[in-house]
Amino acid sequence: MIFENLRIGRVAVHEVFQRAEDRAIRPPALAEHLETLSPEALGAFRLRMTEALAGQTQSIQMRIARHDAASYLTLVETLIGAADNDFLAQSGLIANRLAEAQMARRIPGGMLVVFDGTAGAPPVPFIGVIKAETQAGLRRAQDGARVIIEFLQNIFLTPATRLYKIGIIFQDNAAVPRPSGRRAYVFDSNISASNREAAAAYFYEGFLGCALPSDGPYETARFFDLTKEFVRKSDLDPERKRDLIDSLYVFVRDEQDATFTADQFGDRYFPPDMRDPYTDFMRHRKFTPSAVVRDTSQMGKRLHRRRLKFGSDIELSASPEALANKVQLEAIDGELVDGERPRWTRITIREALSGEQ
Amino acid sequence: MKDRETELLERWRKEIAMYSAWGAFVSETLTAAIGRQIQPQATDRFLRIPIAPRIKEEASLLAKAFHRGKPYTNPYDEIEDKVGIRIVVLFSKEIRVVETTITASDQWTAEKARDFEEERDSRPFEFDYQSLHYVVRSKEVLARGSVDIAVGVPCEIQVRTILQHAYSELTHDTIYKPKVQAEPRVKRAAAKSMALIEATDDYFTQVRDQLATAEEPGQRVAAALNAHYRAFTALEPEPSPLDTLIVDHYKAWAGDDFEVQLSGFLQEKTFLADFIRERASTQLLYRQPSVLLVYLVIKDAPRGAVANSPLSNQELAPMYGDLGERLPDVGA
Repeated sequence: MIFENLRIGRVAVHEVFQRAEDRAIRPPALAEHLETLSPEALGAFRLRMTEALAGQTQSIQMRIARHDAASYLTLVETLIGAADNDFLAQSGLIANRLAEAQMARRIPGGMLVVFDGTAGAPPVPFIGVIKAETQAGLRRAQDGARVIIEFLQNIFLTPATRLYKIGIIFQDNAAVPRPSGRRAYVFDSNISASNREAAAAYFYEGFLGCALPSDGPYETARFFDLTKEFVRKSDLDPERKRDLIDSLYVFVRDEQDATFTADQFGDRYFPPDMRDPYTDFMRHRKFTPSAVVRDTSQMGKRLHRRRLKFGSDIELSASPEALANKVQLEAIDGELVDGERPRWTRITIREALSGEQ
Repeated sequence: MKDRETELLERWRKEIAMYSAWGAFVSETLTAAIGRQIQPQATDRFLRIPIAPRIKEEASLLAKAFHRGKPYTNPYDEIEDKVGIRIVVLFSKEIRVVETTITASDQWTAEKARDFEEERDSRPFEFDYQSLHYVVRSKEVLARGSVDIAVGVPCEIQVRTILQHAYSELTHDTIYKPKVQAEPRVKRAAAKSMALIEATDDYFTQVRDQLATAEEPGQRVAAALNAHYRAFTALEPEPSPLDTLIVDHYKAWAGDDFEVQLSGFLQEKTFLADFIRERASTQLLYRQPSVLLVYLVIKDAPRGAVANSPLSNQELAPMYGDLGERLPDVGA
């Protein structure tokens, strides 16, 4: 939704290099002209953007941490609405900035695509950068009567998402002081790796001046509560609901990835016909389609105890582990009451009664 | 004094151009009028054989006038099918649609010459040749090219179903026209065929009614899409079989209040009009009114929209992109 009505404007492509052996910066090769993209190339370019940014666990709305005069934000804002020549010149400064930010020698070089455009309804202007590593590949082509296999170097933006990173700054309102009125989105396949500090930080932090959002604890708890509500209101049978809630506990508490999305949970655990309704439910409750930083620090007791209710007056309380390992619940047919056979529950607890609170 | 055959032929040869012109005029007028009557159905799907006037051969004119034992006092004027046209439709109910068109025209006077339903009612135990015949006559002098058509020139119109037509092709020349009476065995076989044809027409009609009931929801959706496409994109839609295919697949997501659902969606996503216009010139998909339905379903059910879709992933991906979504990975 954030990237609907996406229109790409001007595109400049520079090349940045891996640092030299003495870790000295090798100056980027700067573009001399703006690029002209064929409709097909533009289509593919747009597709890469939405593939990466829309609802991926590696795509996240960032906090803009640096917004002083020397910051990335201040620099890219000079590109919005700039004349073509200025756009090209200023985008070269962005390439230099990336070269500086790539401090470690293990960071590969690549193409730096700087582009402007609008997205959303009504359209909001943005400046985007893509750092795309180049690949080599083979292509089969017809040369007259002969078919030849060509070796292609410097292909970039293939569908392999781990080979590019994207940073987008939206300018919702230029009239308010930075960083208000601006939004930053970053896609980086390394973000979700558990060692989140190392791999991705040079791009989103050193280069873009962003930081992981601080609303992770709040959003994680909200995700947990909303999903639980959705499961509770569904018409699945009680056993199936309990399984899903079990999975929700594990997903929130035990998964190692730094970020997650609601759809990731839905696609993994809900039956296919409930996935679209779940997406719809979360959208109506205004839960972000982007990734959320997994943080259970504010969830307190919610993750430590589970309470199961039977009828209106009986409760069973246990830790999630005990519930999974020591408690067995089984739905059985009860005894006839007025010609109806109610559903009862047989509970087996692999422990002796040890007291009463 | 000339003999009666030469006399008749000389007059016929003089007037044949006028009869041809009258036949052509009736054909064209009827084709157009039927077209208006059955809109939006296509005329060439309704008329199973194009309407074309047929002029009687000299030999059969002479035979009918003098050699078939018909009690004419003035054979030339009394023979009303010197020019004739035949209208062939699929269902017996459609015959009455054509009849209404014939009798409603103010270009001629129409007189019923034969009605198989009336014949059936009067002889319920017989299964015989069935057709609806009208004779239309010019009301006033009509100039057509270099020919003036006089008042009262007749043209016979035969209206029948494709099944009745097949029966008459089978039997007409052999059983009815010659004076020789066919054998009872042949007549019995012909009557059995006619009975079967009448029963088949009943079944055809049942099939048609059931199909119409089944197609009704899709048609409601298609009509709404058609109207909105025009207003939304300012383009003239170009519905093709692709449109039917798409509506058929995606109508499952159209609710009872589809009109409301669709116009709400389009108001929210006005920018889609630009994407549709940009691609319509080179891609048939974007000239289909149902492209709006695809967008709607992508938004409401992103996974459902791609599963088993009649559209390929290459076709769907840009549409997901327009809505800021990525094509979900739902497996092949």
